[in-house]
Amino acid sequence: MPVPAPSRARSSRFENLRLYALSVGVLIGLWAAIAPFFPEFILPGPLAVAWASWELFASGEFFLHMSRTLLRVVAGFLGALVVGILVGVGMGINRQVETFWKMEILIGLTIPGLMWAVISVLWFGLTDFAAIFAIVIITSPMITLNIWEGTKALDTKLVQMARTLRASRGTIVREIVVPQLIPYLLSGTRLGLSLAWKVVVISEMVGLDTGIGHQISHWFGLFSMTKVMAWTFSFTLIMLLLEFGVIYPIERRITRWRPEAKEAFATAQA
Amino acid sequence: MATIHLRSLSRSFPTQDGQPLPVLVDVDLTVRDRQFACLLGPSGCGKSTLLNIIAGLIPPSAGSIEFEGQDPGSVNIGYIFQEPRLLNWRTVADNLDFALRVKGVPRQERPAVVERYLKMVGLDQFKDAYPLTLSGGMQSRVGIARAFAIRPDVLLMDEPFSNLDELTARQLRRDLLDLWEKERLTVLFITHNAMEAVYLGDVVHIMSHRPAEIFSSREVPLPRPRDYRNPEIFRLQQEIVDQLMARVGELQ
Repeated sequence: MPVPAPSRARSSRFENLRLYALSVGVLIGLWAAIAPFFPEFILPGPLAVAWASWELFASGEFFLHMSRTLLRVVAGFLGALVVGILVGVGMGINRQVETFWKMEILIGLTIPGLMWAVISVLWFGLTDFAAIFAIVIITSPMITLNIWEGTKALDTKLVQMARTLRASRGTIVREIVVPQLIPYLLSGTRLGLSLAWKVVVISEMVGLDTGIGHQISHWFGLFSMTKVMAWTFSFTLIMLLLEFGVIYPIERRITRWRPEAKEAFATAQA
Repeated sequence: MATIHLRSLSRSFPTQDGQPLPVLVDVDLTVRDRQFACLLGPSGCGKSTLLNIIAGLIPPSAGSIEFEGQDPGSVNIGYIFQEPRLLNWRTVADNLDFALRVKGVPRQERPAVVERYLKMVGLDQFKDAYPLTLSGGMQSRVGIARAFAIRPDVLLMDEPFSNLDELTARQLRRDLLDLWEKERLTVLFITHNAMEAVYLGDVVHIMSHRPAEIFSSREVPLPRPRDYRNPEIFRLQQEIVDQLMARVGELQ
């Protein structure tokens, strides 16, 4: 039968949750076990870091900087999405466009993120735009690559099927083409976002006066390992919340029709 | 009325060396209104090309297609492919709904039509399932239901059962004939299986190898419902295979 037994799915989900908790617990336990052997400016314990993180949340300082970082990532990522979709689809349907951009993508993927972070701060100064520009430049090739692949993999037989029904061009694009591109868009989004987080922190360290990266760099300058770790810890926490609260549910909803995808996620979860 | 006339239809395709490759040459064919016509020919002989021309997917190089009393642009065509060609990201019911929507069937009428045709192919219980969770035979049924649901004037079928095991194919042929007897539409069914052609068709048109032409047409004067064990079916099939062998052998 097509519908998997719900009780089994639920129990395996519960099983996964337990393993997640165990995995995190082991990490923190290990940390707590070795921390007492080091001075606080080398490795503060989990409790000290948790307390410092709580202070960041309570004072509102964290949200101030996180919101700036988030704003840059979202703006940069949306820009990269537009570039990626335009170039990727173009490459998928036209040989000359494909050959022209192939080299650019290769170059784009090769140049380290740090270079662009430095270059864009030199060009645009200490502005949000500098970070956004760096994100667009660095994540575009990754998204383009995925959309390009998706466009090439389009099932034209389905387009033919729709044409026998005399479907309009708009209907074909909306109903046949876009749904087939969505899995590629999702994997591009995932990879692109993970790059964007790394780049934004670097940009903020190099030349901005707000954001998570700036704070980490600031406390690094003052040799406060506890603060550096508190910022890192809080940032990671937000990332995980976004991953499990937003990205993963969307991904699951959009790809629920693929039996093999479900299995892959199940194994990825475990 | 949906009688189809093909007159001296030809089609060639451009090739690498610039020399056009003729696939169809001077094909004349008439499929009468409400007739179940089979087109039998060896694999790769250009049968699908013929169907695509009738469906309006590709233009002919020469010749004409006429739907008696109808403008070719307004003929409602149902097409059943070799693969089911379903939208895998939509449920079974939504796949039918999609076709009806494209055809402009009003929203409030669609669920009843979807339900009716899914019931006809025995899939009403699977309306909320996604295609990839179904067996090959069930997916084919969805494709058949989708084609019938739009109430086509003409139904074109391109070896729809050739990827299925014989047992499943036999069930689906039976179901197809049931549907056809209920709806009585004009069918052009392509196959390379002589037994299938004789079992299904009112008439079997036999095509030669590329460049393809119809070199023989055989009426199948057997009453319905037919039985595979009927010696007449077997005899006719043998004759047709012999004819085809003689013709293809002659070309080689």
